[in-house]
Amino acid sequence: MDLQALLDNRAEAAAIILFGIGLTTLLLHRNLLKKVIGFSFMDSAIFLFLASEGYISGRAAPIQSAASDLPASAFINPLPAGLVLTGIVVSVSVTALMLSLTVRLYERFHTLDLDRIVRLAREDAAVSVGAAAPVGKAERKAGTNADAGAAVSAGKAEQKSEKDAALPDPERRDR
Amino acid sequence: MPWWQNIPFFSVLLFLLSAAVCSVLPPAGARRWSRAVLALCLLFSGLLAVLLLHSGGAPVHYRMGHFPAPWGNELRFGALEALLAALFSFVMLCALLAGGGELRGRAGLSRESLYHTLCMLLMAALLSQVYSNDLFTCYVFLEIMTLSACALIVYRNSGRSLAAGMRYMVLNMVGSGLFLLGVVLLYDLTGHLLMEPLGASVASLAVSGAYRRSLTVIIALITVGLCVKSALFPFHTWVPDAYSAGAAPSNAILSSLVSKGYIVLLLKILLRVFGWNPVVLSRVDLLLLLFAWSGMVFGSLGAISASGLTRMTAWSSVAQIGYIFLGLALGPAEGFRAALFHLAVHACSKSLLFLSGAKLREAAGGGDGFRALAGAARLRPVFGVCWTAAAFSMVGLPFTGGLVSKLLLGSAALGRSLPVAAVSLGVLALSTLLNVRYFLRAALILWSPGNVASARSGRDPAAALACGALALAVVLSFVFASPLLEAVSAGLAAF
Amino acid sequence: MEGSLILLFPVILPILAGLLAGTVPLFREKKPCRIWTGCFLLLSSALMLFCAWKKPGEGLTLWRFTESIPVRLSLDSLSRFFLALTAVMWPMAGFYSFEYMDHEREEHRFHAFYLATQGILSGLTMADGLVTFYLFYEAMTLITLPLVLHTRTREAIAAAVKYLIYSVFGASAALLGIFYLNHACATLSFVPGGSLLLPPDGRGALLWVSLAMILGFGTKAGMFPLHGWLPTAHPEAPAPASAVLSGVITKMGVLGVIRVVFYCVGADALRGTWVQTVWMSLALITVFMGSMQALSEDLFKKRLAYSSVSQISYILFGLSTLTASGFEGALLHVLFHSAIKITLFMTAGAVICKTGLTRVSGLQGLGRRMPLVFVLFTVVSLGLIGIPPTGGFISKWFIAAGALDLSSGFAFAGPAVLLLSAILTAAYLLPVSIRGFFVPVSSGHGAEPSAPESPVKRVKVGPLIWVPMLLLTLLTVAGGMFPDRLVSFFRLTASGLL
Repeated sequence: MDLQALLDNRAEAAAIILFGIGLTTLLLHRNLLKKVIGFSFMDSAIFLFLASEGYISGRAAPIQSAASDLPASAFINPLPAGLVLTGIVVSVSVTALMLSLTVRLYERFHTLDLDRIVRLAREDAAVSVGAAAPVGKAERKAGTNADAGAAVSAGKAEQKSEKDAALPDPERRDR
Repeated sequence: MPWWQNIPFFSVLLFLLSAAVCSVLPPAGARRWSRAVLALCLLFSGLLAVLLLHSGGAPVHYRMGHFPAPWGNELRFGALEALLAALFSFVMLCALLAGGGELRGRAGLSRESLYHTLCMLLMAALLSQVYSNDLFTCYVFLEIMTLSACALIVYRNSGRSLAAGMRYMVLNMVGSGLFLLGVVLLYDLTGHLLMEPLGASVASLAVSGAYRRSLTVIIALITVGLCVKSALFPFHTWVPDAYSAGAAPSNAILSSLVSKGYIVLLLKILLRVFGWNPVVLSRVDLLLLLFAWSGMVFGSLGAISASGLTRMTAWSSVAQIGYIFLGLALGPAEGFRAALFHLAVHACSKSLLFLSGAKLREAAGGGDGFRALAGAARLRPVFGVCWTAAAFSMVGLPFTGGLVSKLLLGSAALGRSLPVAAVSLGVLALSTLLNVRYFLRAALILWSPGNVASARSGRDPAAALACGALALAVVLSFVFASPLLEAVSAGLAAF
Repeated sequence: MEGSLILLFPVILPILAGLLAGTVPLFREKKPCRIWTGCFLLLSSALMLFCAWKKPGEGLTLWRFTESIPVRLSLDSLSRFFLALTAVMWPMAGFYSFEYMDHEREEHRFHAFYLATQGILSGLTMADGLVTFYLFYEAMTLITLPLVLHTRTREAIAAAVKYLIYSVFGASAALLGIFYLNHACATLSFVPGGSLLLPPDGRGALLWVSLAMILGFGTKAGMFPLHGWLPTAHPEAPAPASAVLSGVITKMGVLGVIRVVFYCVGADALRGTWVQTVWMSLALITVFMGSMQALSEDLFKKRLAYSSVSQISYILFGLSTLTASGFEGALLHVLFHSAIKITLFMTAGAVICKTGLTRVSGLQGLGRRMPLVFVLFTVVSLGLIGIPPTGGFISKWFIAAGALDLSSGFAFAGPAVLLLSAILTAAYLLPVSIRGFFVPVSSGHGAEPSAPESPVKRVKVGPLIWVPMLLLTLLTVAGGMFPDRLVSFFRLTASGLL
C-alpha cells in the first residue's frame, strides 16, 4: 500500500482507527464510564467516515434557495449528512441510557468495575434465591432481599419502600 | 392502490402512537390499550397475509415520502412479512396477557404504563424491521429495539437485572457498531440504501469481480454484527443473565421476539442485498455453520449445568438460535424455509416456556431451583401441560412443531455436500439428545410428587388463556405443517 | 382424511378412554376404574382383532405432513400379525394388573396410561410409511414412561430417564436415517422388498445409514451395545408394565428393524455386505452376553430382563440372516417370546405382590406355596429354552435353519451360539423352579431374612393372575404343537419380501 493512497483517504483511515479504538475500549475496558466513552468513539468514527464520504471538495453546502439557481452538481451529497444527524440522535439516546444505567449501578454497588458488579449481582441473586427457598425463611431478616424490594424504587428511598413492598410480595406472604 | 396495502404502514404508526398514549394512561388503561392494539394488529396482519397469498404473491412496494424508489424510503412486503408481523403480535399479546399478573404484583402501580410503552415501542421497531426496505431505517429501528429491550430487562430494577442490562447493552452496542460500519461501507461502495438497488449493485460487483475484498469485509461485518445481537454461540455470554433476570414477560419477549427481529433482518439482507453466491464466495456461510454447530452443542451443555429453571430455559435459547442459524447457513430455499419455520416454532414455544415456567414458579413459592420446583406442575396442571408441550417442541418430539423444523433442517442439510450434511445431522442428533437430557429431566421434576404444599389458589384465566393459545400454536404448527410450509415457501419466493 | 375410517377406531378409542380414566374423578375409586379399563381393554382388542382379521383393503390417510409425506394407516400382513399380537397380549397383562396394582398407589394413573398405550400401539403397528411409524414410535416411548416410573422412587425416576435417553437416542438415529431414505428411496411408504433408487455402486452412505437405523430401532429391542436401559427399567417398573415392556414394546423395535430392512431399503441391498456381518455379530454377541448376565443376576426381574435382551436378539439374528426361514423363525419367536416372557414376568410379579420377595435366592419352597404359578412358570421356561413340544422349539428351529442357509462362517457360529445360549437359558431359569419346588425353606435363606416363616401355608393367588398366565401358557404349547397355520402365514409374508 502506498502512502499517497493513505494520505488521500486520511479521513477514512482515521475513522477506521478510531472505530477500532472505540470497539476495543467498549469491549475490553472494565470501567463502565470508559465503556460509554468507547461507544461514543465508535459511533463518532462512523459519523466521521460518513461525513467524509459525502463531502466533495470545492462544492457548496446543499442549501437551495430561491435566489440561487445552481445545478445539483454544485452541491455536496446531502444524504450522508442526514444519515449522520439521524445517527447522532440514536447515539445520544444510547449514551443516555447507558449512563443512566451506570448511575443506577453505581448507586447500588458503589463501583464502576463491570466484572465486580456482575460478581456482586450474582451473590446478590444467590442471597435472594436462598432466602426465597423455604429453608431459609425463618432466619431471614427484613430488608435484606434486594431483589424483591428493588422493583419499587432505587436509591435512598430503597430501605423504606422495601418494607412497604414486602407485604404484597408472594414470597413473604406467610411471614 | 387497494386499501389493505396501507396496513403495514399504519400498524407501525399505530404502535408508535400507542407508545406515546400508553405513557400517559393509567396502568389499567395502558394494559387495555396495548392489548387492543396488539389484537388489532394481529387481526389485520393475518388478513394482509391472506390477501397477499391470494393475490398471487407479488411483493408490494409502498412509497414513503416524496421521492421514488432509488432515492426515497419505502416499505416492501409480501405474504411472509405479513405472517411474521402476525406471529410477533400474537406472541407479544400472549406474553402481556400471561405476564400481566406479575407486572401488577411486582412493581409499583405507576410503572406498569411504562412497561406497555416499552412493549409498544418494541413492536413498532420489530414491525419496521420486518417491513422496511431501507437499510438505514432498519438500523435506526434496530437501535430502538435494543434500547426498549434493555429497558425491559432492567424494569425490575434489581441489582441483577441492572447488571444484566448493562452487559446486554455493551455487547449489543458492539453488534450495532459492526452492523452500522458494514452498512456505511456498503453505502460507500454502492451509493444506495434501499435494498433492491443495493442488491443489483452488489450483484454487478460480484459479476465484475471488483472490490472482492471489501465486499467480503462488508458481508462479514453485517453478518457478525447481527449474530452478536441475536446471541449466536460465541457471542452468547450475555444471554443467560439477560433472559433470566427480568420479569417473565420480559424474558419471553426478549428471547422470542427481539432476537428473532435481528434474524429476520439478517435473512432479508442475505436474500435481497447480498444474494447467496457472494456469501458463499466470502465463506461467511461456513463461519455461520461453525457458529451454529457449536451453539447447538454448547448451548445445550450450558443448559444442562444451569442451576434453575429460568436459567436453563435461557441457555436453551442459545442452542435454539443455533438451530435457526443452521438453517440460514444451509442456504436458500430449503435451509431458509427451515430457519423461518423454526423461528416461528421457537418464538411460540420459548415464550410459552418462560411464561408457564413463571406461573409454575409462582405456584411453588417463588424459588427457581429445581428442588423448590418439584411437583409444581401438579399444583397448576394447566401450566404444567403447557410447559411440557413446549419442552417437547424444544426437543423435537412428535405432535409438536419442533419435529417439523428438525425434519426440515435434516432434509436441508442433506442437500449440501457430504461433510456438511454429515456433521449437521450428527450435531442435530447430539443436540436432540442433550435437549432430552435437560428438558425432560425438568419435566419429570415438575411432575414428580413434590413436597410443595403451599398451593396458592390464585386463578389467572388470562394467563391460562394465553398459555393455552401458545400451546395450541405449537401443536397446530405440527398438524398444519403442510399448508404453513407452503405459505412460507410462497412468501420466501417473494421475500 | 380419506380411506376406511374403521382403522381410526382402535387408535382413538383407547386413547380417549385412557384420557377419561386419568381425568374423571370418579375413576379414582378402584372399582369403577377397573370396570372402565377392563371394558375398554376388551373393546379395543376386539376392534384391533376385527381390523387384523377383516383387513380393510384401502388405508386411511390422516393428513398430509408435507406434500410428499402422508400420515397414513394401512394393514399389510406384517401389521396384521403385530396388531393381533398386541390385541392378545395387552388385555392379558391389563387384567393381571388389576390384582397386582392392589399394593401400589394411584392405580387410575397406571390404567389411564396403559389404555392410551394400547391406542398408540395400534397406530404404530398399522403405520404405513416411516414418518408415521416414527411419530407413533416416539409417542410410544413417551407414553410408556409413566408406566416405568409409576412408583416414583428415586431409582424409578433414574431408570425412566435412562430409558428415555436410550430410546430418544435410538429414535433420533432412526430419524436421521429417515431423512436420508427420503432422498434415497422412491417413497417412505412401506413397499415389500423396498423401494431403493440408488444404483448398486453408489451405496456407501446407504450402508452406514442402514446400520444406524438398525442400531436405532435395535435400541428398543435391547440390542448390544444399546441394551443398557432394559435391565435398569424392568426391575423398577410394576410387573405388568415390565411384562408388556418386554413382551410387546421391545417387539416394536423389532418391527421397526423389519420395516426399514425389508420394506424400505430392501434385503438385497444389505445381503453380503459388511452391514449384515456387523448386524449378525452384534445379535450373536447380545444373545450370548444377555444369557451370561442373566445367569449371574440374582434379582428375579433383572434376570428376566437380561433374558429378554438375549432372546430378542434371537429374533434380530433370525432377521439378520436375510433368509426366508430366518424371517419366519424370527416372527414365530416374536409371538412365542412375547407370550412366554409376559408369563415369566407375571410370575415374578405374583411373587413380589404376594410375598414381597425379589431375589431368586429367596424363593425356596415357594413352589409349594403357590403351585399353579410355579407349574406354569416351569412350562414356559421349558418353552424359552426350546424344548419341544413348546413354541420356543419351533421358532429356534427355523432361526437355526435360516443360519444354516448362509454360506459364511455364521452358518456354524450362529447355531452354535444359539445352542450354547439355550443351555444357559436352562441354567438361569430352571434353578428358579428347582428352588421353588425342591429346596426346603429352612436352608440358606440369608438373602431374604424377612421371608415369612410359615412354609406350608398356601399363598392365595386370584384368578386375575393365574387365568392370563394359564392362557398364555396354553398359547405357547398349542402354538408349538400346531404351528402349521402360523408358519404358512409367515412363509407367505416372507415370500413377498425376499
